[in-house]
Amino acid sequence: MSQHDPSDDAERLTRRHYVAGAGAIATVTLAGCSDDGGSGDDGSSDDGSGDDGSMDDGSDDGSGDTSELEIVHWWTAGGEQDAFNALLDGFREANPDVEVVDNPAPGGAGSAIDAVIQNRVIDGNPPSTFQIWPGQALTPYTNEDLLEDIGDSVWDDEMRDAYLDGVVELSQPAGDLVAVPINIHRLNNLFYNVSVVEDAGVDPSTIDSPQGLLDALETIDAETDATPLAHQTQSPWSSLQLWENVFIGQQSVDDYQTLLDGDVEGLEDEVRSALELLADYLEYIPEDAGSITWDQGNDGLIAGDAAFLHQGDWAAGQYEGASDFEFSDDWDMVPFPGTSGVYHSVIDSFVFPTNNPSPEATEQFLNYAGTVDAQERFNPIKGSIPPRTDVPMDEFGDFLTRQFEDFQNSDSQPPTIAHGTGVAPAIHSALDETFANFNGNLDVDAAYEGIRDAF
Amino acid sequence: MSADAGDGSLLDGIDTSRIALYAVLLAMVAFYLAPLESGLTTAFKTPDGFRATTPFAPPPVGEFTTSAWGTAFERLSAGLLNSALMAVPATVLSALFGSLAAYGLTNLRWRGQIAVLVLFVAGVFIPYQAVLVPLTQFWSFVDLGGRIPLAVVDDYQGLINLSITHVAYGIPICTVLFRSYYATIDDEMLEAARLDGASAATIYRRIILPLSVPIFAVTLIYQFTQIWNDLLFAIVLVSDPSNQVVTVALNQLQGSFVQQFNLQMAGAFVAALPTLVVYVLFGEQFAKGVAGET
Amino acid sequence: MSSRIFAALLRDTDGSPATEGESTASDDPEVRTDGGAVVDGADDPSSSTDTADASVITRLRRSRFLESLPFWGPPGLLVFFFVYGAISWNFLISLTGWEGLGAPDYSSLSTAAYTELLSDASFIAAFRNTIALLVVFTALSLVVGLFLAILVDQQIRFENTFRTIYLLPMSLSFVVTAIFWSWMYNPRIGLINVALRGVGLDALTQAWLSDPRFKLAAIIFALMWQFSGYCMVVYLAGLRAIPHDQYEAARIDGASTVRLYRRVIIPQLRASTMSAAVVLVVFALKAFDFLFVLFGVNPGSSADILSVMMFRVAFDRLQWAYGSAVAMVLFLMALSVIGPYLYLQYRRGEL
Repeated sequence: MSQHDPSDDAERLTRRHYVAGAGAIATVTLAGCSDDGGSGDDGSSDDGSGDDGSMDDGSDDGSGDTSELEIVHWWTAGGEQDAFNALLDGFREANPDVEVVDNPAPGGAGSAIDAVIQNRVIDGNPPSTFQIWPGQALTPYTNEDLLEDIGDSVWDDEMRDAYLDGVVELSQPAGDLVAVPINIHRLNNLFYNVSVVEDAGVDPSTIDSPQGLLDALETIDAETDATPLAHQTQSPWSSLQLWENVFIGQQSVDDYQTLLDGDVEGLEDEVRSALELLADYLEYIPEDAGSITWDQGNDGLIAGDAAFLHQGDWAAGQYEGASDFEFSDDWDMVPFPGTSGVYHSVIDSFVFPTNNPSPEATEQFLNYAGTVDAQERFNPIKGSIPPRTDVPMDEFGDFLTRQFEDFQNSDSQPPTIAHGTGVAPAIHSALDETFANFNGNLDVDAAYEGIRDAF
Repeated sequence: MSADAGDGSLLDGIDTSRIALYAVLLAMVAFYLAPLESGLTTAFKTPDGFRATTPFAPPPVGEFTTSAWGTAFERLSAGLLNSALMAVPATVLSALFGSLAAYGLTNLRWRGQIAVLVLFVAGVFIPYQAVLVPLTQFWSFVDLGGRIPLAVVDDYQGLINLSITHVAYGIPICTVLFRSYYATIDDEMLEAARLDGASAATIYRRIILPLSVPIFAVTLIYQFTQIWNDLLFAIVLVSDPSNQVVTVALNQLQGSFVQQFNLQMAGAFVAALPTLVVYVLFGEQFAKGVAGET
Repeated sequence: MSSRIFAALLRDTDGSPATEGESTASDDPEVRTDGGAVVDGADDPSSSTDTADASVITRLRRSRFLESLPFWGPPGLLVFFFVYGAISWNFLISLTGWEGLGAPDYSSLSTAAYTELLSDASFIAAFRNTIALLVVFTALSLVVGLFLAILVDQQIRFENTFRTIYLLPMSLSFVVTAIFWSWMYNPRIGLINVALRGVGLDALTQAWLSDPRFKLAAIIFALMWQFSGYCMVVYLAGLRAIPHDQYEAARIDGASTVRLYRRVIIPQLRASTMSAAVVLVVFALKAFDFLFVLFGVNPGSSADILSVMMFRVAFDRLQWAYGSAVAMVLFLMALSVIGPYLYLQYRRGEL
């Protein structure tokens, strides 16, 4: 509670008092009770009373109680929930004295949790730690110094050596190390139903460009009854991430990086070309793509009603859960055409917010999240690979082991746009809006302008 | 689906235009109830059941289940309780304030009254978006939990903030509802009481308040429905998950990973249950309140 | 403000002979206790002493004003602060350029956000959609509501039951109705497409909520479902207020039913139409909840409305100032509807 930037807080508190005075007039009854007792000692009023409250009566809101660790995350469904529980089990074994308050915020990646966390952070009432994409997604917090530098307390030399440089880089968007990545998903996957593509006479391993994928989709459409591409357009992120991969597949990771840096106009033709091909792909998606979720589309692939799916490798978790649907016999995956040396990374991490209600326990948790043990428990169930390079892969199954090998042999691990690491949230949100429109109207011109204006 | 409601009794001695009239009325009943009926049948079906059958058909044999209701109730029960804790005091307080304000602005006549009244009435029509950003600022500055060292304030800070907010934004409509009623109260009666030496407060307590029972019923019903149903203030003002109200919980149920239509529908009914009960019991008063709003 | 001031003033009024015969001898204790309980109980002994010079009428008015103050004062303060104070504050924020998780800086103000709005394609789309939603939704709901009201007004049996059912959707939360309608509109197994297929109209089945051509129409239709019952109730009250002999007179003249309604009855419902329309416009401006549940913050440019855009910009993008500017536009839209309405009401003495 003492580690926040004092000048910022002082300013906040002065205004807080001023406005609170005005509020007291309006909220007649309640203001009567508050009697403005804290006006003498600004600096400690909000922290101090929070402490008192929880020490007096042992209230369970976690404020000021160092043995309670509140974690907010969005892993609420199926395998994800199991993976997180496995992580918590490991943490409890290692730190039996810490009581974990598990606060899932359902609604899927980035939807509800952002608003929840932002509100709490602005209110100076953050949870002990929360799930967030590393990289640019952290910038609103780092801009206001709302995350502690954990470069010394958590990131010791051993941990730094074990993580890949690119991942460490993403954990320090503003210089200080502020996040602990816990997993890495690959985004540039093209999953397919083996028997459907065989029926159509398509060999996915020979598709070598995004344009080649369009030809394959046409063939599937002509030769089978199956939907060529099990894509959803209800939410914009699936099309956004597909566009990212088409762009990298058509161009290069270097061009993609240039794009992330904001030079859209210099790449106008390239951006448009990827949009045009995406529009062509979207002719081959389910009729009800606009009203299904990605996993419902994936159900179609499992059932043999769809041939391909472009998705992060969390999609494989659904295959593991399906009966009689085996890796390499029934389903398989190739890197998205044109991106074979690329490991397009989607990463989750945990952070140490300032004004932390449980500094000690948070530090313990972040330390644990960076260990081999934590990542070995969490990732096989989550369907992701560990960001540490020294985690034994025995428990990870054939598919993830192959992904891990791809990762270690990859030439580059660029961050994604659709999953927040590559661009700041405001840009991300504007791109979501652009692709929500594109899903409806397939208007390349409007989408280009939207992308240009977003950056 | 509901065309069999009462044809037999309606047909007696009625000419064709009457039959056509009732046919149209019943068709409209079907239109207004179809989404509810479709949701209700779906809520009792298994996933296989709702994929395989038409949405308005009852669950087929073997595909009937109440498990969605159990799950929905379990996931929404905390929200239901929070909504009740928030909505009931907010409803009562806003109605009370509305009654007082309407009395002061209707039965006690003074020049310039209209100007104040206009400010109240205009407040009914404010788009909440126009106050949203300042509201979040305001409540984070006020920081009740930080100023009032009481565990209950700390634990329920989000709900208290939300409740007070609803009181404030409910006052205009409550005032309008009460005013339209108080305007019909006989001035001579109040005048007579005044002649007898009763003060404004006495008149309010002895005459106006007892007369207000029907309009209190209307206003309480209307306000409760409005406050219970709100989503916008709740998502913006309540950040602590333990203070989450039922509309937010329901929205998250809907936004969860796998779309389980039966669960969503059951959840929708569970969340709507209090307002539905109020409506079924007091539909007539609700209609009055709605019409009185003009 | 305090009870003593107006108790004192009441005494002044009592002392003057030309009041309307008010003798409030037992007034003081009553006012002090009850009035004091209503306000915050603060006592202000610095009472005024303007007695002799003020005219009787002025004092009378003032006393009534002060007498009524404890009743409307506290709620008025809440309204003033939360509604008008907040809107002013919102306007101030819209001038700051405030973004991100920090605090707004009130020292440098500019109207940049408003200039930016004018060249923002999503704002223009949202503005257009908002207007379309307001106009079409309001008109459609009025027509359906009037139709229902006329039907219900035909001395039907079970009138209360019919009315209750038609009004039922209005008691539901937008969250609930959005969930029902997303299910109704489901292109594969939703009731609407299933019903269309059932009667052989397969060609008319659509992906209602994802096809940009139908999105807004689908939303408007669902909102009409929810609020047309309200119009019915308002119109019914209006119809019942028309003297019965007008129907009789028209019938004697040999007017057909259609003609009767078109020429005689409907013109007299203007007041009902106006008050219903104003309330509908307000509901439409608040339709945020419905769209948010269906689409999140990104309904797409074909269905985006200002209230959703405001939320997206402010709470998703943390561009608070820009969001506040969008909100001001929304507020002005509401004002442009309610301003004339309130003025007309005032002119007709119906406020």
